[in-house]
Amino acid sequence: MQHIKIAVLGPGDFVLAKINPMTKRSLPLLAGLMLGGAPYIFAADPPVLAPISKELTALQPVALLPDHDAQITFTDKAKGGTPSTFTPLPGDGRAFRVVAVARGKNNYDIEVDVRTSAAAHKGDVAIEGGIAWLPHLMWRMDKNYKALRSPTPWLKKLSSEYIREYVRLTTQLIEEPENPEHILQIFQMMDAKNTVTFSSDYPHWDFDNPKMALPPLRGELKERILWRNAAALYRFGGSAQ
Amino acid sequence: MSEPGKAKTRHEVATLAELPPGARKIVTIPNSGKGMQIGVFNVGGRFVAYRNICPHAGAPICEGRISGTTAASPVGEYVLAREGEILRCPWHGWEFDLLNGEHLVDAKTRLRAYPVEVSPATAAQDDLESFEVEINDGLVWVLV
Repeated sequence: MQHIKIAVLGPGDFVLAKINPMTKRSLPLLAGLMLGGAPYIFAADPPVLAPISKELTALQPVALLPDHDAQITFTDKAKGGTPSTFTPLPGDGRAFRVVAVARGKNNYDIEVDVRTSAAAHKGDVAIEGGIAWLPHLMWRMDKNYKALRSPTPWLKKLSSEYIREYVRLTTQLIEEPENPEHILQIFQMMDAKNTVTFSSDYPHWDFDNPKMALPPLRGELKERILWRNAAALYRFGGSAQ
Repeated sequence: MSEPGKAKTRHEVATLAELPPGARKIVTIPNSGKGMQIGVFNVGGRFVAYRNICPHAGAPICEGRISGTTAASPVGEYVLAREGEILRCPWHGWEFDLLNGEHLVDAKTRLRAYPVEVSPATAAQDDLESFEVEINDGLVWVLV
């Protein structure tokens, strides 16, 4: 067993989750909920979560691994209509408000915590979920925000701008269009120069070889995706920005 | 409909009595081809006029609800402000600032605005003057 950080619950409030990296089955579930137009995110598996003190954890990025069985709640009361899927709410009720909760590929969500992110946190990284789904999600969230600003007046910019600033995706399960140029276009749509980092998915048998997996990249985009963005995210030596 | 460089035409659209603060009137501009509609609003004593077409999807925006909205606030708190100054599109709920026609999220998206003038009812047309609250029997004009 090993410990990884999986979520930031509130200002200075962290959780640890015990996971088995080989099976992924003991990953805590994250569930999103829109209440009166305000999005919330809940840790849905409290037994494996334990708060630790602020002092123990330098502010670190968070890796969110999609649980492919997770059911995400998305009820948009501001706009009306029937709630989509539901996940039982956690017993402990700890929650933090997020900029946006929206369904991505494989039933998992992107979450950004306004307060903690703005304070010191450089953002979260969603891994092993591919990337090509993000651009249209950004467009959709912006479209919805344009009609639904009033329930979330604390937001200061478009959802896509928060995503560019705080959300990072990694390349594994990289989409492989017939024409490799097309993935470069998707990189452009999602500002991959700032949002995408390479990942290998090691030790899975179908992991990505860094020399083979990605389409031909050049110049700054290559440098940033292959290492600079990750170095900046995890604050390894040398500034990448 | 006016074109760049073309002189605008004044259209009488309402009497002042029809447009007290908070009121609106939607008029069809005569001889405007397809029957151009313009909404004239009295926003707390200030007159504004906008084309009755939402720049988002073409809805009759001027028929939307006039209200206030939530002001910028800390997370989880709601502060209502600007009552009577926000026009909400009847189709998709986009909020526009009635005072300048700008969409509250994306100011680049704005309603098509027209100048409004107010004159005493008995004055000749070349005596047009800017609106004063004391004028009670005036006429409201839109320049198209």
